[in-house]
This record gives sequence, structure tokens and C-alpha cells, in this order.
Amino acid sequence: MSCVNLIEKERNAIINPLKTCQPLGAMYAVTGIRRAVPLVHGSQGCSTFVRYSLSRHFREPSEIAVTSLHEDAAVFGGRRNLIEGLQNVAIRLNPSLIGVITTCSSEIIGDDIIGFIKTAKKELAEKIGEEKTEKIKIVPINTPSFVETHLKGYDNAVKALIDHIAEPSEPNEKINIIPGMVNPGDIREIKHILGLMDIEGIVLTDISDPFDSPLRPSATELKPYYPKGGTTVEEIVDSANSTGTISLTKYAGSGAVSLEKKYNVPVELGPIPIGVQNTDQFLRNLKKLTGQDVTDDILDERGLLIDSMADLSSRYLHDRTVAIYGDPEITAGMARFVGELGMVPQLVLTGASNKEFVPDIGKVAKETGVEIDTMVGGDLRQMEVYLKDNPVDLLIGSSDGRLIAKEAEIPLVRIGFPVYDRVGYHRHPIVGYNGGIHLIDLITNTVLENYYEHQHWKLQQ
Amino acid sequence: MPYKLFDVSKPIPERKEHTYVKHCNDPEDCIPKCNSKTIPGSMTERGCAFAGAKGVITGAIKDVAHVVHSPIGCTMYGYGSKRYPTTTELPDGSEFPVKDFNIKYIIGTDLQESDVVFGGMKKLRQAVLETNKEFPFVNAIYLYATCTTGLIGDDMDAVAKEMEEELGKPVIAFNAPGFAGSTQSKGHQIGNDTLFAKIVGTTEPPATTPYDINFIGEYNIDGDLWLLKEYFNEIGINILSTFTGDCCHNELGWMHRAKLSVVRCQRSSTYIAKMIEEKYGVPYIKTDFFSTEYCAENLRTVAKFFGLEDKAEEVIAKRMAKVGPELDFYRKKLTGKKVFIFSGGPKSYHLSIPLHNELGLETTGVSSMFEHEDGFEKMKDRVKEGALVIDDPNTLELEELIEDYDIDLILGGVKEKYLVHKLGIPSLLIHSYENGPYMGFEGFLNLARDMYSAIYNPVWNILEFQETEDPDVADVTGEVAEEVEK
Amino acid sequence: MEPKLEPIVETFKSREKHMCVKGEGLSIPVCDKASLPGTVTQRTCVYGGARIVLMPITDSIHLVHGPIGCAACTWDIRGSKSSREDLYKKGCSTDLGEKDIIFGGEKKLFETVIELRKLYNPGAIFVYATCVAGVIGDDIKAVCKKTEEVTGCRVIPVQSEGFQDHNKTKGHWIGCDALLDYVIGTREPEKTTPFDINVVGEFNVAGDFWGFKPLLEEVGVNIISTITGDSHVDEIAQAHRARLNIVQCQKSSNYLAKKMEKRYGIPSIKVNFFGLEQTVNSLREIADFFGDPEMIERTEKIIESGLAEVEHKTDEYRERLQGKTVALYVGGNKAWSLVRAFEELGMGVMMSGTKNGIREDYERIKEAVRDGTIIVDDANSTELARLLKKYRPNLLISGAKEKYIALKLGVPFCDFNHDRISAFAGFNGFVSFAKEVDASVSSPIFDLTSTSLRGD
Repeated sequence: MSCVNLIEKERNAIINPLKTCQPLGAMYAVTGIRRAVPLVHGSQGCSTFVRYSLSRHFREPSEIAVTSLHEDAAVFGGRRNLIEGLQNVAIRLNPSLIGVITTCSSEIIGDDIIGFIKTAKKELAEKIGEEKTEKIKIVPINTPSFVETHLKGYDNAVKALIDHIAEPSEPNEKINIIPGMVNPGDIREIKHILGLMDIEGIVLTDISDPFDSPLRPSATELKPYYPKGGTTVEEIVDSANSTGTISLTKYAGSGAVSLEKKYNVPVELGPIPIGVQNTDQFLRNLKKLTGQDVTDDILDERGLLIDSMADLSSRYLHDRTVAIYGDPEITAGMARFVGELGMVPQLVLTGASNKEFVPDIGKVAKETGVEIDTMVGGDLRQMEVYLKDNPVDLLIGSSDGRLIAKEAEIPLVRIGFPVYDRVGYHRHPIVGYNGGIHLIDLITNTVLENYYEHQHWKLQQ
Repeated sequence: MPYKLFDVSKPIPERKEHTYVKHCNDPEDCIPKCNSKTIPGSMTERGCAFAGAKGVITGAIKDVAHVVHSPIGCTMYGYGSKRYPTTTELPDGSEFPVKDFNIKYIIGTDLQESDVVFGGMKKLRQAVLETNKEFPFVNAIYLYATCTTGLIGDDMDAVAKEMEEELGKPVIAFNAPGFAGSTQSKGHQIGNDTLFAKIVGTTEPPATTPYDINFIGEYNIDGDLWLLKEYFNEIGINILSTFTGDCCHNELGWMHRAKLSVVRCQRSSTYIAKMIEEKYGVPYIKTDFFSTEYCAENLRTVAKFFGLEDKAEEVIAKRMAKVGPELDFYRKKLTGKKVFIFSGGPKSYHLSIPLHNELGLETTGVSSMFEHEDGFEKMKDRVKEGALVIDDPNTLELEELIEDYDIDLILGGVKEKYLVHKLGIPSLLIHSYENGPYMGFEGFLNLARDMYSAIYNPVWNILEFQETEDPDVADVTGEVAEEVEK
Repeated sequence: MEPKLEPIVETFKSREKHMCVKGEGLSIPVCDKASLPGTVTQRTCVYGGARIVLMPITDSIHLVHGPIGCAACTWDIRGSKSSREDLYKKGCSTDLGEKDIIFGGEKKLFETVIELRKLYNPGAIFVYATCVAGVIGDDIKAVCKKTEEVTGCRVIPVQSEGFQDHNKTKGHWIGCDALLDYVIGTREPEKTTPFDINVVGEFNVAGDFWGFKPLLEEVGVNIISTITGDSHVDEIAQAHRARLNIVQCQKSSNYLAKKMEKRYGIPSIKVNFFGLEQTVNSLREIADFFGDPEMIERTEKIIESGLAEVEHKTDEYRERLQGKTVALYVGGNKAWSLVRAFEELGMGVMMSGTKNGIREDYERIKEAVRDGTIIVDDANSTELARLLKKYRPNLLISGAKEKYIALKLGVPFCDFNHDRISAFAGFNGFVSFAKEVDASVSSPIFDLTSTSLRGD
């Protein structure tokens, strides 16, 4: 019984997508660098739509420049747009780094990004001098929109940043963490775990502060606005000297692999530490790379998660069926956690087409002893139709499933990206033991509200 | 000097002609340069033509399937992003089977590398067939070109024609790839042109009355239309077609049968009103329903056209009695507060006078992402001496503006909202609203209430400022800029 | 099993004899003694005992005459379901203050009763005496009588001062007495049948009663009243006309059945609808009692179809539960009534105990369990923790106060008290029971409790 039941999408068209194109992932990654500006080489929609999407999820500014390709560029190429755009960003925003992010149009036009950057630098040096120009790192990031998904764009960006900037010098005894596309709360939780283990980390890249920053206007009237925090360029340079790299997602580990190949920095890929066993694995990886032992504090946090699972799962969650949808890493991690809670991951669905996803789900099927309906490269319409004949007790995924949930009268537990119809979800972790505690509370409260409230006396204790 | 160059824009001096400071005795043609190419890398807030066509014009139509011919991103970003609620009612009395179909579903061809190399027309054809199979009840299928399909040269019109014949229902291509024009405005125009060319005049209404109007450029943002429709119904005016809020495909086909076109959003849809007038002789008037004064005035104008003035007065009196007293309260609270309006287009001239006359607010400046000359003329006319009138202000200019001017509230979009907050100023979403609708009498009260709660949010009085300088965030912009000037 | 002379767990000398092992010596622990002061007893008070017996009467107001705590802490904790009124869920108190303690609370009680009657027009108002009411010497009976005259509504005194006894069983009896003295026999039914019965000691927790009520109706008996689950006070008033009392919770309500037998000549039989075998036996006994051939035939058919309906539905659970052990530590009745049900799931009861058992309760436990089973009386929390640690059952059945003791020790737990979620009585109830037990015992989380993250 315990196996993966692959359900194919019986059409070519996508109806209600569960993925977006590469540039978003790259813009996300560049935003995680201190004083960095993503510069999108494409039409204005390519930046505007992404800014809109990021801002409504994180409820934070998302400052992204665009080269504003118009018709003339489509015909004659975007050379002038990129060269001028780079200079304008460099001079007016004085960034530490500019990530030049391509799009479908600039890739199809075939712009020579590297050549254009060279020219732009030369012209810039004439205007502001060699020294200042050299201080601004310019990293080309190829993100053809028509290849794979936003996760690939993130992966390409992290790899490009590492390949262009990392430089070996003295060993630093730090651990590189590639978090994947997660929320500020998740990265903070990872840093918290590192702190408890007394390990210094370099997060590549760290969006935790840029996408969740305090409202404390500057009294000294500084322009332009840059959020606090983020990974510094120096840290990226230093990443070549780290003791090891852990990529919390195997779908975006190219940068880590590159560090290993070039500078012998050992690498561990995945899984994302969602749930007990995946977090255990993360700790083992940390221990393996650093030799630091797991501390009592961490085991206590683990104990708190186990404590709530002991209390809640058999009583409220056992045997409840769940459909999980979203990015492959998070979906697979959630499926495993849901199994640990004694729930049934009846359907898992990811918009990406990554092959590694199926064996991951196979492992969960084996652990839970259930047959898991699995859709790879699927879309939300597929899930909507599936649910009509195969109802579940609970949906777990992004806000984009909210109307399906409403129509099917199935409660939705929100995780992943984007969440725009509720607030605060970007702040709370779903990774680590604390993330597990947050999730079990979220899931159980949703179950209580929807399956117990009508028999309110059951909620007295 | 009527033009101003922000300090932050010294390195891009061409920005100066886009930033006008109102002087009452300036010649009439003194307006900011607009509707021109965006300066690359200037941190513009503008969008693209695809957004203008699908996002603004057609996305409100309730009974058509929207197929975006693109890599997945454009499809994803076209999904349910605008507040365009729709009902299931159709003009012939039947029901469309899905409520808010336009918000719930988007279809995409998900173009891959091989499609880019070999062309995506086959995939588009297949997507249309699959769409029709999945949603057989839709009354038309609209196809959207994007940057990719524009560049690889897919012939969207040919596919549309072929599919229309095969399916026996309208299939229409909108050729507004993202790079067309300099702003989303180009997409509005293409949307208008396409709908006029392909649909208007192709259908006949189930019934007509002597009081039929086209309500053009009203998209039912957050329910605006439903509020205004009540007024018209009470006056005795029949909305024969709406372009395009809560409308259906067929409804657009009989726009030529109306007695009058009432144009609400003048930037995005005067085009079609003009074309209908030219071809079918239906006159049009430009209107404005923001605020009680404008709303009353424009209801009177439309009513007068049909000789229904008395009815209009009744409707106006009834609504004023309802909202007047509460508006008085907000006027007291808002008088003297300063507001900066950063809208896409017309709201920047719709709002400045009513906010002052009816709520006592001062407009520090107005700006727009995609207005043309005619819009900027109105913007300029409707602000006071010294107010700013800006085309395509960028993020840095917005920051300087907040620093240099005394502003209590910024009306803008979600992209600006959180930046403005970080600088210590409240902001209110004006594109898709917060607790709308904002149009009409009751809507203006909603707007007043939202502005009041934004400005008077106690949080703005308890900010802690960042006193220490972060060495990383040194203000070197000026320094660099000076060097450039040298 | 431990050799006989060793204590079952480490504890005070005086507590040692409160635990025994069946088959060794007397097989009955010392019981019905005051708890040892300073130990964390799991017991409640006499007032609590009376309250849980009476509270399921749904059309009545339950007014607690005392300082606010006695009402606040017991407000709607019964988990007893109603198909009609929800008046019984109101938490009502006279909220006695310092002044009332000095000058007496009778006036306040009088006014409160009048007020409640006006507000809710209930079927009855039960007035519970608490420790304070007893100490200050308020004459609750007199006030009840007076207010009953004034309002015309039943106002019933319940003399349940908390300190009266160390055992809440006394409270059960007091609750029963209130019904015997003031309710039962005060109203005549419109019609009677030869098959009239009362269902005694069934409180409809989580809807248990609804799990076997249809079975009784099919058998052909006529239920005059349930005492007290999902009942109205007027129904209980007619209970004296029944031909038979069937007693589900023998712990709390055998007393009532015995008194009714004495007073009205109504015989009683003990029933148990937990578990398939017990359900079958109970139905047969009822039919046999009436001796009506048609009824007996009908009953066999019901049994046949009832068993057929649930056949194989518990197989999956049974497979996982086979050979697992369970410890029961409950108020009373369930310490024996659940034993067979667990055995039907393939599980063995390795310990059974009660908080308030009296000698006859332990006799019943002894009869129900197998040799070698540990029997405990009034185990305090330390003892309970030690028992669980030492004998490591695969499941503990108990109430809210014990839950977290078990979970922290990594022992799966299932709530069988007021806070239970599913109805477990009758044929279908057994399936829910199996499912819930399985959910606890087979939960994957207990595999995660020990890992080797530390060290090499």
C-alpha cells in the first residue's frame, strides 16, 4: 500500500499556476544582501509584478530597479538600457552590489550582459572614479523565465553571487547556510539554532531583516532607504573559507556544490528542517561539519515540540487527511511532518517538475504506510478537480488555494509563499523545532475551529 | 523656474522636465513631460502593457477565460491580483455558473525553452482547446501576447481566428506585449482598440430603453460599480453595457445601441468612447464620481441628458442626508492635513479639489505613473500654487519628497506603501482601495474614514527614531552626485 | 510480576496497602480512607460528586451557594450532551462575600433563586450547599421551600457541603438523595406500558447514551427517564412508574437503584454498553428480564445486525493493538466496565484503579481483571508516575489531571473522562473507541521521543 501514486496532469495548459518564473527567485536572493539592488533587465512588468507580489506577502518595501525595455530595445537590443540603468543605480543608490537579473525578453534578444557590464563599469569609472566603481560589485544573473521555476532563479542567483564574489583566504570556522526561499521567521530560527550550538554562520542570502524590518525612521535623514541587515558582501567573499555549507534545499544547492568544487568546502544538501526528523537531520549535518555537539537547550526545544505532539496529535489530528501544495522542498518536508503527527498526507502537489521530488515523497509513504497521491508539475486547478472526488480534512499551502478551500469547504492552513490574505505568517518559522511547534499549533487550532467548534463542549479542555 | 530637479536626481538631469512646480501665472503648456520612455534604472514604479491590457481592461469581464501566452511568470502575476468582484448575473436573465470567475481562474501556456526556439503557436492552440474543455461554459476566450511571444513572433491573431472557427465562439488576441509603449497605458489603448475592432457592433441587446447608457472605464474596483449603479437605477437610467466592470463578453458587443457613453476612467477608456461616437454616433461625456460634489454634479449632467433632473435631485438629497453628518466629523478632523497623491492616472486630478473642498485637506502634490498631457493639464489646474505635479516619480524622489515636504498622508499603491511607512508617514492604498468602495457618496465616506484612521493611527505618535548613524548607510548620494556634476 | 512482599512502588508505609496484585492474598486494596495530607491526591470533594450526578439534567438551573470558586471551577465541565435545553450549562453562583459569611447568606440565596426563576423559567433550580454554606449554617432547605412556594418552580436543596467526607461517593449519594426526596414520584406519567424502564447512571458524556438508546428502542422497552443524561426534571419525576432500572454507572448510581427498589419495588439490573460482548449481554439481560418471546427474538436480531455492522471495522486497529497493555485509573465505574472492551481489542489491562472506590467497587474490579493485574486505590500523582515508569503500559486511560503526567513519561494517553471526544457506547461506539485507542497507542510520535542526537 505504501507508495507514491503519480497523477499526471491531463492537459498542457496551466490553470492557476503553483509556480512563477525565475527572475522572482533572483530578486528575492539579491534582496538578502546588505545594501544590494536587484536590477531587472526586462520590461517594467518584470519588476513591478514581483515587487507587488513580494510586498503583499512580506508587507515590506521591495525596492527593485528595472531597465525598462520598450519596443526600440526589443528591436535593437537592450544595450543602452542596461548600461544607463547600471550607472543610474550605481550613482544614485550607491549600493554595495547590483544583481543584474535577466528575463525572457533580454535572454531572447540575446543581450551580451557581461560585455554590457564591462562597458558600464568603464563609463562609470570615468564619472565617479576607479575606486568607487570597484567598490560596487556587479553580478550578472541569468534567469531565463522559460526554464524551470522561481526556485531555479534563486539557485542561479546564489550560485552567481558565490561564483563572482567568493574568494579563498584563511579558514574561518563558519558554516554557510543556503536557506532556500523561506520566510524571515525561518532564517531567524536557523540562526537561533546555530547560536545554541555556538556556530557562526553565513546565510546566503539572509532576507530575514530586509523582509521584516523595524519601523524606526532615521533621525539623520539618510537616503536612500536600505533595510537593516542582510548578508554583507564581505561575508559572501568569506564563504569560500567556511568549514562547510548546508543547503536547506537540494533544489537550490548549485552554489554549495560550486563552493565544494572550487574551494573544497564540504556540502550537505537538504532536507529542509521541517518536523522532527528533518530537524534532527539538520543537527546531525551541523555536527558532522563542525564537530559541535547538540546542546541541552536544543534538546529541550525538541522536547517541547515532542510534548505538544504527544498532547495534540493522537487526540485531534490522528488519521485526518491532508492535501499539501507548494514548492517541492517545503511540500515534501510538510508531508513528512504531517506523517509524524499521525495525519495522512493524502495528496501532495508541486508546481515544479523536479524529479527528486518523487523519491522524497516515496520515503514519506514508506514511513507513514499510506499511498500518497502525488502531482508533479501540477497546478491548482488539478487539485481543485481532484478534491471534488477525493475530499480531505485539511489543506496546507499558500493563499492561492484560498478560493478552492472556500468552495470545497475545507479549512486551509497557510504556509509558504505567497500568503496575502492573513497577516504575520512571514514572521513565524516553520523550520526547526520551534517551527514545528508553531505549525502544530496552527494545524490543531484550524482543526479545532473547523471540526470541534460546533460541538463546543469538546473544547472545554 | 517652474521645473524642479530633486537632489537625488541630479545624476539624471532629464528628470527635471518631469517635475513641475505649480505657478499660477505659468503659460498653459507648462506641464511635466510625460508618457515618454522611462529612464533605465531610475527605480520607476511603472508597470507594463500586459498589465494595462489584462490587469486593467479585460480582467474585470466575468464570463471569459483568459489565456496568457507566456513563460509562467506573467500568468502567475495575472492571477487574481486586482479587486474586480463579479456576480453571476447575465443580461439575458441567465446565470453564469461560477461567481468571480475572472478572479478565480487564469490559464497560461507555460512556455519552455523549446517553445522559444521552435515557436509557441501549437501550444497556444492546444491551450485554447483545453480551456474550452475545462470551462465549456465561457462565452469567449481571450489570448494575451507577452514579451516572449512578441519577440519570438507568434501570430496570435492567426491562432485566434483559427480557434474561433473551430470552437464556434469568440477567441480574441490582445497584442500588448510588456515592452509595448512606455507604461501600462499602452496596454489600455490596445485593449480598447481590440475590443472595439472585434466586438462592438457584433451583438444586439435583449431589450433597449430610451435611457440606455454605456458606463465606460468603470471596473467595479471593490464594488464601485454596484454603488453607482444604484444611483443610476434610482434615477431611471439603464446601464446597457459596462466597460468592463462586472460585465460579460456579449454586453460589449451592443455598446453601439446606447444613447450616451458615460466615461469614468478617462485615461484608460476614452479611446473606445471616441471610436463609438465616430462610428455609431453615440455621444460621450467625461465624468467623475469621486466625492459628493463631483458625484452630484455628474449625476445631474447625465440625468439632464435624459431629462431626469428631478429624479437625480432626489437621489442626491437622499444620499447626502445619509453621509453628510459623518463627513462633517471627518472634515473637522482632516482640515489642514497635507496629502500627496501618487496614483496611476486620473485619481490625481479627481481627488485634489474634493479633498480640499469637502474634507479640508491640502494637496502638497500630485503625480502619476502613466497619465498623458491632457491628464496632467487637469492635474495642474486643480492644485494650488506651489504644489508639485510629477510624472513617474521614482522611489528616491519619493523619499526626498517625504523628507523635504510636510506630508501627513500619501495615497499610493502597495509597492510604495511600506517604504512610506518606514519613513514614518502613513499611507493609504488608492489603486485597489483599503476598505472601499471609494466612489460615490457612501464611497467618499469610506475614503474619509480610511484617511482619518490612517492619519490618526496612534502609532505615528510613538515612533522611536534611529539616532545613530550606521556607517554602512552613509549618505553618499550627494557626494557622488556632486562629482558627476563636476 | 514483582514478588509479593516487595511494595508495588516506593511510597509511604501507610499507602503500601492501597495497592495490590490480583491473585495474591486478598486481592483487594485498602480503600475508602482519607487521603494522606500533603500528597497530590487526584480526588475531588463531596460537592463535586453531587454536581456530576445532577448536572446533566438539562432544563434546570444549577445554583451553587458558596464563594465564586466552587461554581467557577465546575462550570460546564461535565461533557454531557443535550438534545434539547442548554440551561444546565449556565454557571450560577450566589458569590458569597465576606459580609455574607458574617451575617449569613440566606437572603442572598433567596433573592438569587427568585432572580434566576424570572430570568430563565427553568424546570427546576438545584441549590448546592458548599463548605462555606455549611460552616456559616445557612438553612438551605428552608430557603428552598420558601422560594418554591413563592415561585411555583421546583427548588431543590442538595446538601453537598464539600468537607462532609473524604470520598466523593458520598456526594453521588447526596445527589441521588435529592432526586429521591424531591423529584422522583412527584408526577404521574400520561400512560404506562409493561416495558417501562429508567436508564440509571448514564450521563450522556460525549453522547454515549445516544449510542445505545436506539438499540433499547428497537428492543421495545419504553424509556421513562434517564438519570440523568440528557434529561428533563419532569421525566425523572415519573421514574417511580418504571418496571425496571438498568444501571450503567454502578459506582454513582447503584445507590439510587437500590433505594428505588426499596421504596417502589423496582428491580434493577447492571448493564454495560462499553464493548461488544458487554453490549450484547446487556441487551439480552434486559430482554430476558421481561421474558417476552417477541422481544427476545427481536433482541437477537438486533444483536446480529449490530455485530454484522461493525464486523471487520476494528480489524485494522486490533491488528496494531494486539498484545499492548493498558492501565486504567478512573473515578470508579470504568475501572471494571472497560476491562472486557480492551480485551476485545486484544489488549491486556495490567492495572486498574480508582480515586474514590469503596470496597464493593474493588470487588467488582477484582472480578473483572485477570490474575496479576495491579489494583490501586487513590494513587497520588507521585505514585501514579512511579507506576507508569516502572510498569510502562502502552496506554493510560484516565482524566485531564493525569494526562500530562503520562505524556511527559512518554506513555500514550486517552481521555475517558468528561473531556472525551467520541461516544464509545454501543456497537458503533466500540468502533470509535477502537479508533481512538489506536490513535493514541499507535501514534508515530512516541517513536520520536528517543534519538541519539547527542554524543557520537
